[in-house]
Amino acid sequence: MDILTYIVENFSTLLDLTIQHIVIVFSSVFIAILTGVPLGIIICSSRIASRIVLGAATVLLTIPSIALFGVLIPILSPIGHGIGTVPAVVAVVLYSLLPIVRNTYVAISGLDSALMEAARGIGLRPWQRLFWIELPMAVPMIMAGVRIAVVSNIGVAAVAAYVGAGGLGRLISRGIAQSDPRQLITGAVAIALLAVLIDLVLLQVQRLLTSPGLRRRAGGAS
Amino acid sequence: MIDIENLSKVFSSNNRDTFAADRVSMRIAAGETCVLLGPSGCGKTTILKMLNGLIPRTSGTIRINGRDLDDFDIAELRRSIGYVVQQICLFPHMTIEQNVSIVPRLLKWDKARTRRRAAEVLATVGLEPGHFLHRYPAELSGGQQQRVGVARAIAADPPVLIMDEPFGAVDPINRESIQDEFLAMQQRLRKTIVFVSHDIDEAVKMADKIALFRAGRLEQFAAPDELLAHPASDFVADFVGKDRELKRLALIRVGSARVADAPALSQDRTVEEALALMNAQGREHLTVLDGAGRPVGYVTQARLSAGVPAATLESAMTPATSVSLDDNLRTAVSNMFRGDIGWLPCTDGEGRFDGEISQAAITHRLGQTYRERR
Repeated sequence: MDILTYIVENFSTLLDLTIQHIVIVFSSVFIAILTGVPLGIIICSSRIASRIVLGAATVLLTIPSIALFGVLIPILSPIGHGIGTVPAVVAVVLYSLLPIVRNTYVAISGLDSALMEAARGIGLRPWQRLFWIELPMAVPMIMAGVRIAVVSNIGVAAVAAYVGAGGLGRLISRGIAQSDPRQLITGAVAIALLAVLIDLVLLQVQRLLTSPGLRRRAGGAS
Repeated sequence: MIDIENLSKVFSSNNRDTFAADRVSMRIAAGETCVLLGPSGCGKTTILKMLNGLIPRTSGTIRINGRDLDDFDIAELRRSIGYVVQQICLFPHMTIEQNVSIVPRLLKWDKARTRRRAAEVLATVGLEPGHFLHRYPAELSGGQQQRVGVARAIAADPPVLIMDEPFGAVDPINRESIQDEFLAMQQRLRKTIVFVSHDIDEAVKMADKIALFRAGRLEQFAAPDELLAHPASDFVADFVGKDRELKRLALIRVGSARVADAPALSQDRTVEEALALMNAQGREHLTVLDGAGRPVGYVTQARLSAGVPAATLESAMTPATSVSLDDNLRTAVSNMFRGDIGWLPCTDGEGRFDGEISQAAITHRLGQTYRERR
């Protein structure tokens, strides 16, 4: 009951923190898409490059978020952003790279080689193959990577409250500091709900972006 | 016209050179269908892919309509050569209309013209445009997809088509009818076609010229009947098979082997008249016609002489099948075996009696090429 009262009384704060949270995650994942998708495409042409890049991204993902923030503070301090939104965004971008780069790489390097040869054989130039064939066919896989990035980084962004980034994580950190279970539980539940809801929304976006021709194929129906 | 001169392709692996094409020279005339034939690994697909630059040449020249392949922008060259592949390879994320429109789009045709052409070209390959334009490849059967594959290749009306085992992925029942439709289409379009196959029957059926390869070398380049009747080497003879004379049957029109002056009588004539005619011409049988001059049966001298309780031929005759002058000898022989008779009446375009074909006439026609060579 206490918690419900808390939510009602602090609704506008809750809304602000939620929006902050969404902005951190989405702007970072957006940056990660802009860098990760081209990176995933480029490494398709070199086996060595793909090993190096995917290996580095995997190592990044194994670093615990709190440790990564610790590392980012001295690195970003010289430009005046050791704490706040910037380290949060940088961390989320780094964590998002692996699922996005890897899924782009797997989707594009896994395209049927006979199909790609047919595309060459009927006269598509490399850029036309990329934009007319490869990317549209890779969309479901790339979007699956984006969903993994967004959902997992909603959790990372919560930890970013400790470096002053704002967002729903602030409820948790304050709840712990003030021994206030109302804030603690509200923050935890809100973050979990946000993750589930955004995943559902992104699933719809993925369906919209995927050609009906690929959807049917995935379903195996004729 | 496609001119290939001293074309070679060497693949090197483990310090060993393999010739996928070994000094191949051949000329494919405009409007002709040339089938590249041979066992797997003989280099036929490699040669085909060198024609549109998918595989680079080691040496030699290829000229298309007089222009050297090196003088083309490769993507532009490919747009002017329709390409059909065995795996069909429609783009699964595009509708049938988008698949078929892809080369016109590359050539920057305006939208209205592209749309018109997509519908037109689907109709050409026997698919109802209204029903198929907005579907996706996964919704179509294998045979329908292959038709779309052909439609995509001819959409921009290229003068040259290259096809890599185009009907290999289609089940045998549909393959036959797609081949027939393709032949009928080629009759109208008269493209220069290079077609890879490993199936001698398909090659005999589709080709104006067959190029038979072994280990990258051109063993024989000849018209199908020439290849079957006069194989240039033991390898060619083995490849075309021991039944090569039977395969030749499919190449020869009934019209070119039939006996034109065969006797026939209307079904309302009497048995006596029939016997008199057969005696006069020294024939063992004659064809019985209906009022419109179509063959409906036959009578034999042996049976009529034995005495039949019938006045007119209509009740005395044995019903018979016939064969059109445009059918091939293979169909004719098949009908003969089915009817257990040694001859068949022939019909013209309107189904009227027009001579007959006999086993003796077929033997004579098949032997013609050997007598000429002697």
